[in-house]
Amino acid sequence: MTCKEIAARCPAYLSGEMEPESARVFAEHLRNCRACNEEVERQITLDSLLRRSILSEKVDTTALDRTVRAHIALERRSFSPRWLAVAAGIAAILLAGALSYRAMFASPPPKLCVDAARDHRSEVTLAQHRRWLSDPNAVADLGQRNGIPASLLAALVPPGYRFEHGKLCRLGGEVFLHLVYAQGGAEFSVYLRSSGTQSLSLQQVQTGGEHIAYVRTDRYTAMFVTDRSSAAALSLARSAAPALIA
Amino acid sequence: MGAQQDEFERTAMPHSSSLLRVARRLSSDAASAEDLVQETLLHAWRNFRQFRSGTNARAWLFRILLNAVYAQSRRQRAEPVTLGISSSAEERLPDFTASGMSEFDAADVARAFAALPARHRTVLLLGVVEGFTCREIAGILSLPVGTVMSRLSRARHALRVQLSSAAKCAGKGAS
Repeated sequence: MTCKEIAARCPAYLSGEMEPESARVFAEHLRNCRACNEEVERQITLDSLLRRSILSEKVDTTALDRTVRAHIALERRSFSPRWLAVAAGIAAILLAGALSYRAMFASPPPKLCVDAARDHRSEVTLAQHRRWLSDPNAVADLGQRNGIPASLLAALVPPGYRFEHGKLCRLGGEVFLHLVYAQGGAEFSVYLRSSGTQSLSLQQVQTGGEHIAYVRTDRYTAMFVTDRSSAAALSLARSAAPALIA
Repeated sequence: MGAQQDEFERTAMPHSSSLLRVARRLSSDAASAEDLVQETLLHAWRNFRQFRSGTNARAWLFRILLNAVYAQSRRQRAEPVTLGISSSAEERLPDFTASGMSEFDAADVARAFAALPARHRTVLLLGVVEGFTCREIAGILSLPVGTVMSRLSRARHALRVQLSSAAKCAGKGAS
């Protein structure tokens, strides 16, 4: 083997892919050629430095794994006959009178709901975000600038709850107004944006520990996210629905 | 949990940290990297029936990840940026000794690595950090094995050139 061949075949030697006979010839060349030997040693050292550098970085996938599992659970559930039966049952109840307006079930984009759940978990449950607006007038102003009237914000507050704070956030590439309301130690999130869809739809989604009621009207998309229960999420959405369709 | 999801948990989910580590080095920010890995794992889940049990799941996952990275790059219309000094093959290699090179710390190497073009970072991540063979990398990147070997050589060369730039600034790596 020439020095040029050694250089060309070095990657296969370093990854241990060389045939035994070729590896023997390669090693023999290294024993007899100081320049090639030093070059290969430098490459081994460089590889080791690079591995150490990259592998020393801490990688925490806890939240990511949870999100992936939540997506998978949602997808499995959306194809599950049992879930369809539950959804149909909820639809029947809603259509029978829990809501007094035209309602229909449609699949919300699951990713949007999962994104909302993840955002609620990190920013409300785990309080990882500090830059909230707590002045209701400033939040109302923010809402106005994003097509959400102050009267709607006032009407969204369920009985017994108080407004905590709000800010803009991005979910699924769209800007939402994120509002947080509290009752005692319990908090829930509303993610709200102006939309241009034509009908009302409402669906419950559960992902991880969060329960989401997803509402779409002819003017708004809203997600009500709570850690408490599906019934609580649905109740919050039902309480806000008249304001959303007004 | 169904049998298929059980199998997916055992086969694919343990690789999420390796996927994220690589995605972080190939995407513009941490959030994009997480999105890429999420997209990769969900794609793998949706196509898990096509995965043949007993074949190389890691290589399959990295292939999906790299496709997602390329797609993201196309969406962002962002060309890989090479910072610092040139990494052309003609550039004269610094004459570090192996012991001189060990003076570099993790941060020096990380900075030099980050300045490499994406194609160089990709083969180094797969071959050196993740331990894939040239043949496996060829499968992941859909390239001939010879191309992978020459790209690995050029990538190692480019990394040393970048490190020499750092050495000149910090007085490290001298033989």
